Amino acid sequence: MTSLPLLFPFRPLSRLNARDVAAARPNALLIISGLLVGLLCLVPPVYLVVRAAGSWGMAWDTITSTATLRVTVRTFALAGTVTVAAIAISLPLAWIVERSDLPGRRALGVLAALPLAVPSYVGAMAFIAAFGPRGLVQGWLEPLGVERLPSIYGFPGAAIVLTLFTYPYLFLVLRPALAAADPRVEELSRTFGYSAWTTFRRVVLPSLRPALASGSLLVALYVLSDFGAPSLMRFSSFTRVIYVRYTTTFDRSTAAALALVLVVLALAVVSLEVWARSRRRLDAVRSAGRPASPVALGKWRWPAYGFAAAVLIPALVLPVGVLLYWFVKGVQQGVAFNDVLTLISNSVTAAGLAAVAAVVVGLPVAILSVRHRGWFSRGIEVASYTGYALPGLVVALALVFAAVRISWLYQSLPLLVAAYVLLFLPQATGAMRVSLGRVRPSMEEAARGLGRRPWQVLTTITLPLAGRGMLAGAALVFLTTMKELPATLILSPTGFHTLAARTWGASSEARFGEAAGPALLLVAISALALVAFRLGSGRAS
Amino acid sequence: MTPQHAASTPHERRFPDHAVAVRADGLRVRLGGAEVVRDLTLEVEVGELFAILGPSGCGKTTALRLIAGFERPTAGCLTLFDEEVACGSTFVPPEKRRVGMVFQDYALFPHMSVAENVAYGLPKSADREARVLEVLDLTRLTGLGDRDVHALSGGEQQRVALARALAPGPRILLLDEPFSNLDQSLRGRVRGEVRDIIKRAGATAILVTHDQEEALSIADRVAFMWGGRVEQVATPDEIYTSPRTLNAADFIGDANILHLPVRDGHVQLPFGDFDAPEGAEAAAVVIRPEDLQIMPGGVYGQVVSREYYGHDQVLHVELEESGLVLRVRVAPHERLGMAGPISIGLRTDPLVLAESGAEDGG
Repeated sequence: MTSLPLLFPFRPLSRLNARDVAAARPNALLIISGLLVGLLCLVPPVYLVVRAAGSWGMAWDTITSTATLRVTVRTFALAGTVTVAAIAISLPLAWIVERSDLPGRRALGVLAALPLAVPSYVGAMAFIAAFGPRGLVQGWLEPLGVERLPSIYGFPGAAIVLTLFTYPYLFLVLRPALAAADPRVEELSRTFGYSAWTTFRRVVLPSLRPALASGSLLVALYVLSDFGAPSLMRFSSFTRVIYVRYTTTFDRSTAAALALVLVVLALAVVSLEVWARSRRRLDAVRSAGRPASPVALGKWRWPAYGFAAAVLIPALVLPVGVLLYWFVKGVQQGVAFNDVLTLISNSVTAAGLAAVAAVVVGLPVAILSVRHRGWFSRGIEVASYTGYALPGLVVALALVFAAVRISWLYQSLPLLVAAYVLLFLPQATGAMRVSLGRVRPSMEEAARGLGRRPWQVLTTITLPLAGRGMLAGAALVFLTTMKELPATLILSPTGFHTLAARTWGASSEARFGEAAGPALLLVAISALALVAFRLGSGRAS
Repeated sequence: MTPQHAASTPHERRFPDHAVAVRADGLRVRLGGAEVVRDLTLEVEVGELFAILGPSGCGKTTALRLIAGFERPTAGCLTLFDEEVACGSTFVPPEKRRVGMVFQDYALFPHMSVAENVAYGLPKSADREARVLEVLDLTRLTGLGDRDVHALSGGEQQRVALARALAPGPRILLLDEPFSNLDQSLRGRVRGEVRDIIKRAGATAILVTHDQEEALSIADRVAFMWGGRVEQVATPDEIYTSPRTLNAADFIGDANILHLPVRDGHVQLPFGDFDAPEGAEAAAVVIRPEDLQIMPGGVYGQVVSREYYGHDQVLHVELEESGLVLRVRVAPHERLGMAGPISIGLRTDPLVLAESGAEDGG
């Protein structure tokens, strides 16, 4: 069996894998917990259906109107553009970091992931501050007679901002995929006389397809559901339109109908990814136990540095610089930061609880999808993506609707945490799935054979080995929760203020000096979570 | 270390009380819609080193997993030491069977040291550490207990897997293609060592392999599997010299196989007529290359090609008249030109097997 996987890295799943899959029937506990998670995930879509059905005629008119079609096309164009641009940025960056001899590539690997720590609305604010009318750049250019800059609002601005702050999702997925690619396959291709470029295109790129698919999914769904950045860039994406409907009309059925359309579109994107992933099985490839030797860049190292700078300056230097500038100005103007410790503690508490809860809830989903492929697991997996695809606003309102009869639950911390789990569950399951995939079934069977019961096998073998993935998943959920806005604004208990809420509140009233402090803390804490994520998702030794 | 390559003779192997460690009776398994094991019937005696031999996909690994308890039979009964562990609604889970398993990929726990791996199956008690040291000694891993399992060579990893399986004192040791991940040059030596370790531990062991040389050299008895069925259980020399089926004859060792019609209860060969099994209409004649020899007064033929192996060589001889091409094993120093005809004959009577209409393959 040594040469076969090397030559045929993409073995069909059906026959060769039959033993692993069929042998392990999920036990009752796994089925029940999977079902509960699936039911929980169905709360928002069920709410939407109930709402829309309240006045079905109007809802149907909304769904079929040309305005809706226009918003759909516009939003998809944005998601598509951002995804393609994010691939164009992250693939070269990941390749430089993993495969080239560029001096400083390790530092670049850390820096290139950091824009993920910048909330997209903060990024958008900084972008407007720099390039907007009467912004910094215009100020610098004014002595030269430049009175107006081309408008950055609308589609181009939204696309640029969203690309700069979402490409790390792809970058983070592509790095380990590039690192894990079997160098022998590439060497084999070279022996057939194919050039390095042809080899990359025909061998490396196809092997990256699952990573590209799952990273693109994260980016596309983020764009579909993001509210802050499109709003600030005055681009009427689906989420913004829904928000406007919710806040300006009494009848919520049309907004619910629009949200339903968004759910359907998002699920279409998700099933595309699930399908792309299930077609190919990459964990069958045996590692050569030896990383590929780095490619010497030579004089190409200068364009590589230039490319990195072209990405990192607007995505990292600009927002942090703008925030620092505002912060200093705010301090000079005497802005006080009295409750900053409370804000930090609230944010960390909420995000920490969400991270732990998402890992606990996500574990059965991840185990089912790695070990027990089939319609049941796939159904639960797709259900677990619904919340992720939905705007935070919709999930929040669905939970309000469900919890309104239970007075102790409404505007309580548990409900807020539940919303976060619904919104970000796939981030936890995704990370855990990768590390669970590294635990070979034979290891668990060996433990059973040595006299351990299934739950002991879970605690002594599976969980310790999947521990890094759980840490990675928790860190990712923590990071995203820290930045989350709409659900936080709607569901936070009275008087429970977080860094994100304060940043948004102050900046929406143009009190940027006041917003800069919490925003900087938000970025700093998120960056720490990102480091934890990197440690957690690092290659197993 | 004195590797015992030669298999013992049957009467040395059999224990006087004939205690049976494993009794499989008509076990069947269906996996993903395919019946992988159709009829697993065999008995393994206590203290025996038993090999299950067969080509890829014949169901031998599934047979091993059945005994370990990782698969549940769809029919049939399995008894371990007179205790029914799988039969009808009875099913004893793997952790209660007291069997040790050595996986093909070793399945070492990567987050544990060598000693922690070995200690995993031992109950927490005072003499746990002593037992680990004892087993490490037995498997010649003394002093490697603190090592990371990644830092070991393939042969060492394999011995850790063996030590881990042996530590809790299993009633039966199961080995799934244990030598397939080792270099060819290492295999012979490691095989002898493993046999030695198993015998010194006094364990009953079942080994699964597709390598006939491995099965014949290490095992006390061999079961030949084909298409999900056990076709023959016998000692290595018996299964080699008297295979009961054509599949076994073809798979185990080298053979000239001739498909011939049966006339008046006989098959006709250039070397003479031989009895066919009763009632057979067609027969397969099995002639091992070493059962042919160069001898005066035999059948004349022309050497058409030669495979040289060092310890011997195999000549391809095209017989006159019949035109049959037979493989003949001769000593390495025989220098035979391709020019003149040679005369070959049989050392023993060939094996004649009845040919049924359809043999299903694995």
